[in-house]
Amino acid sequence: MNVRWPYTGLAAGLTVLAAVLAGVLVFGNPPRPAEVPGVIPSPLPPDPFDFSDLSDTEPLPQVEFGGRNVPMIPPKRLTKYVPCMSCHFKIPPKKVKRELQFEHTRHSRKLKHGGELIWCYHCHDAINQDKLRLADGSLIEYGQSHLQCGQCHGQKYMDWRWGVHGKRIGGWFGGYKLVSCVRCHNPHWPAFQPVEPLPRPGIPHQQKSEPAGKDESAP
Amino acid sequence: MSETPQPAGRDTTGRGLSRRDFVNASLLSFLAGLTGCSLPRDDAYTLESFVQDNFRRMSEDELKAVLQRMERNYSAEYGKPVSVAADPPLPNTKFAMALDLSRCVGCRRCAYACVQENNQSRDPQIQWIKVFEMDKPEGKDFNEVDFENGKMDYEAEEVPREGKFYFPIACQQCEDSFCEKVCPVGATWKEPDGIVVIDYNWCIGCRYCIAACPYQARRFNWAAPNLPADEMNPQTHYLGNRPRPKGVVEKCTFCIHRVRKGLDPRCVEICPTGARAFGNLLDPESAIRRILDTKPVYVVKKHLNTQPKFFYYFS
Repeated sequence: MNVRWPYTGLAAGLTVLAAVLAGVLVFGNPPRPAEVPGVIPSPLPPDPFDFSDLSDTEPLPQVEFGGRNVPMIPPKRLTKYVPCMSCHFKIPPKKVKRELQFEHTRHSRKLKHGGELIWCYHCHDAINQDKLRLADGSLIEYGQSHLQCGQCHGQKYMDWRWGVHGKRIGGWFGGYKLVSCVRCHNPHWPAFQPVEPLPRPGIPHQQKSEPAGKDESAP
Repeated sequence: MSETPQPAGRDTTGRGLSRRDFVNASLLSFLAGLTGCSLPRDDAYTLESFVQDNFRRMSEDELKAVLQRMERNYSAEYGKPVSVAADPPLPNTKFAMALDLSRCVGCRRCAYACVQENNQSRDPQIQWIKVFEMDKPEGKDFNEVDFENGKMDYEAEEVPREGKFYFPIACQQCEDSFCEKVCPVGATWKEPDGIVVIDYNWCIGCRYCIAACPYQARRFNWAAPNLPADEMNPQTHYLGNRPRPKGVVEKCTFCIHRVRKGLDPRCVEICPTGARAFGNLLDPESAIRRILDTKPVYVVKKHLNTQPKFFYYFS
């Protein structure tokens, strides 16, 4: 009976491990180059939503519904042409529906809201033009314009108050914030304007670029 | 060990190489491998990573050591402080997303924001979100949509185009996920908050899950991901957006590093029309529950009974 070398199992195990490690180290991953320029750009235009005009100290107005109070980011404060009555006190309101003249285009380029049905004084009060006028005749501030939108767009208004319609702000946890309708929709032309789409995703076999950083073993 | 007395008859292997030389050579090559003369600065190719356990089996101390090692290695690789978190799921949460197809304009901002947020490879390009352009159905019936002729490589001056609608799709976070069932090593699983995650260190790259996924939501790193250091997002999660090595599968995780802190996923936040909604299915006051209660929502390929937690609706 020969004396067996006692380390056969250990040697075999180490050999296998060494082979695996050597394979991983030599063939598994070429060292990454220090700096590979981004071949495929990821252009992301800036967020069109600008809330920088909000002051941190002023509390947000609340929207009440169904026993809840939800904070709302108010409309942007208009800096031009406000207060309206500083000019309009001397211009008598013409309630007749007509083609808009030049002086109106300085307020809104076009009125493209509700087809042919809507006219200025459906929303603006004809006498006190610093206010908006609801269908029941009551006057509201410009900051409360969501009430006006809700008169016709009831379903959307309901969704909006529940946080279903509108821009999401503040995360899913611990309440949400509403964004006033006119922050996203121009009230005189509420449809969203078409935007330019970002580039289409690359087709894999067209992504061949500089050899730097490319893995030769990749199919 | 070389001094062990051995019988002469067992000294050679019959191939002209003595066993002693063979063992010595293999030991030497093993040690040379350990010294790491050609090691890339990549966390996945360290010895600790090689012997690391599955995420679900790791004890707290082990996990802490692993996260520290990853932070150290990623910070060295990308030249800036990188944090790797492993935030546990929040109690009583089941995440879901809803997408209003009437409001999606197909601008692809979500897809690119996702790439930036989740550290996908730039070249070869990996995007988790696909946006398809399809012809509008006659009515508002979701079942009439011609999915087969949807195009994801549409190019347009302006979107939305007349007569088209847009259909973004990513991982549906199925309750009954096929990918989890087919994984032979248990590298992918569903977390208690409903997010299907992948342990990139445990994945062996067999791509069974890619074949099993009916939504084609999973992506494979065919080559070493190219992630520019200045664009790398340093806020990462072990199961989410930490840099992936070559040869593993990745997919959408609802931005697990964000949602477990109470934030919305990045695609929800970036969407210029607010088409996406995200929330907790178990919270009856949440917007997502309101959508499920009041809108006719659809899931994709419902006949497969995967029970996706991603809902589509027309408003």
